Amino acid sequence: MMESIQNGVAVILVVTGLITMLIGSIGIIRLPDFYTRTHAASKVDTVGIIILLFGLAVFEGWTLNAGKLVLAIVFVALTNPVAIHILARAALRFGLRIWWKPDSSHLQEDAAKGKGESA
Amino acid sequence: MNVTLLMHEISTTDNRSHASPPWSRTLFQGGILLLVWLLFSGKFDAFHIGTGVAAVLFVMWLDRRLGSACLDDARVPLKLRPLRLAAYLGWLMWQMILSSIEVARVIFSPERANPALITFRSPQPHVVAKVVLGNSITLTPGTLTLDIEGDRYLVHSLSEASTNSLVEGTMQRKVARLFSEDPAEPVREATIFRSRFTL
Amino acid sequence: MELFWVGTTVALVVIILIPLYRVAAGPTVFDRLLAIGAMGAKTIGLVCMFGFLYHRFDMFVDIALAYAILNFIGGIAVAKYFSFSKTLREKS
Repeated sequence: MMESIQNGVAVILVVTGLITMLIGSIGIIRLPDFYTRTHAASKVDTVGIIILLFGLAVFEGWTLNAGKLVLAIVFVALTNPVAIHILARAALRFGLRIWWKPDSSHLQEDAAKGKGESA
Repeated sequence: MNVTLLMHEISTTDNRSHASPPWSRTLFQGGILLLVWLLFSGKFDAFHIGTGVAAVLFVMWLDRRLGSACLDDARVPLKLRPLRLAAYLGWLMWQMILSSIEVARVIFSPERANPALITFRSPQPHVVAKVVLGNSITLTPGTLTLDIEGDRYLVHSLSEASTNSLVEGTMQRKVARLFSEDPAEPVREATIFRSRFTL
Repeated sequence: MELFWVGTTVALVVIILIPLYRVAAGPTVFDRLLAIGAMGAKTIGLVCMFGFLYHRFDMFVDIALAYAILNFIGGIAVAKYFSFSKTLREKS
């Protein structure tokens, strides 16, 4: 009885983690520029990995391996955002352009500028 | 004041006679390291524990040499409140789940995305507080720390709602309260850039 | 339960392969690095799942931890390298 509840919780957690990671992967493909993609990689992926590893730890039960998995969770939660922050900072210092939401007023300004330059 | 700080730094880096950390802290560090070793090895006979003790001593020796080189104010005593830290970690986990839901919504309807750059000042009492704040900003809804210089932060935010919640400064207040009793103003001079003409 | 682990491992492999599109098509080098980092982070989970498949979980969880550390250090080293590279700025 206890065993089956444990397995059920583990299955739910693992599947949830997989779905979250799938959303993160789609985000890395779909979002418009590098800085918005870092959001998908840093938040959605980190949460997905944490949920997945936690599900594996629940499946293991109270053993030494579950302790190692908890340590892995802490490590991923600390290092994944830091690594992506350093990559984003490198991109900023490199001078990578930031994507802004296309806005009608800016488009008009652009059009006016274009006219002024051509005239 | 600056001059005295500089003198202090020169004297500590020159003759390497910095004050040794208190014994309680050294013992705590060694205990944590030994616990991690036992967790990883999983064998509790004399040989493996002996190897572990040797490794822990070696790592602590390395850390003594490294600690004074890396962080400027690593020797400023860090007062942590375990209860508040636990409450903060719980709150942070909840924020992480909220944040991944929000980013997922943006991923599936890209017209929601409205990126903005935010700069603000947030005086934090300790280097560790800065690290905690930067990491927390990255993990919470739609915001990502791009750069930290002194007490100035540059943050990229993904959507309207996350920009507003960052400028309100709930998180900065919480982090500052982790490390000091009554913190100074947690957010100052918040500025939002939202198009290529303002940067 | 065996079938469940096989299925989830295959699903995870598919999820890991998706960002490969960004590695191939990414307009800048940072997009490629970001996608590689995301793939590496998910591989930590994959290595743990292999442990269940081969019934040697105690061994594979250590490999996963070592992989996590290597992924972190490697990502930081490459990011540092590109933050100082000025010649690439003119090329892209």
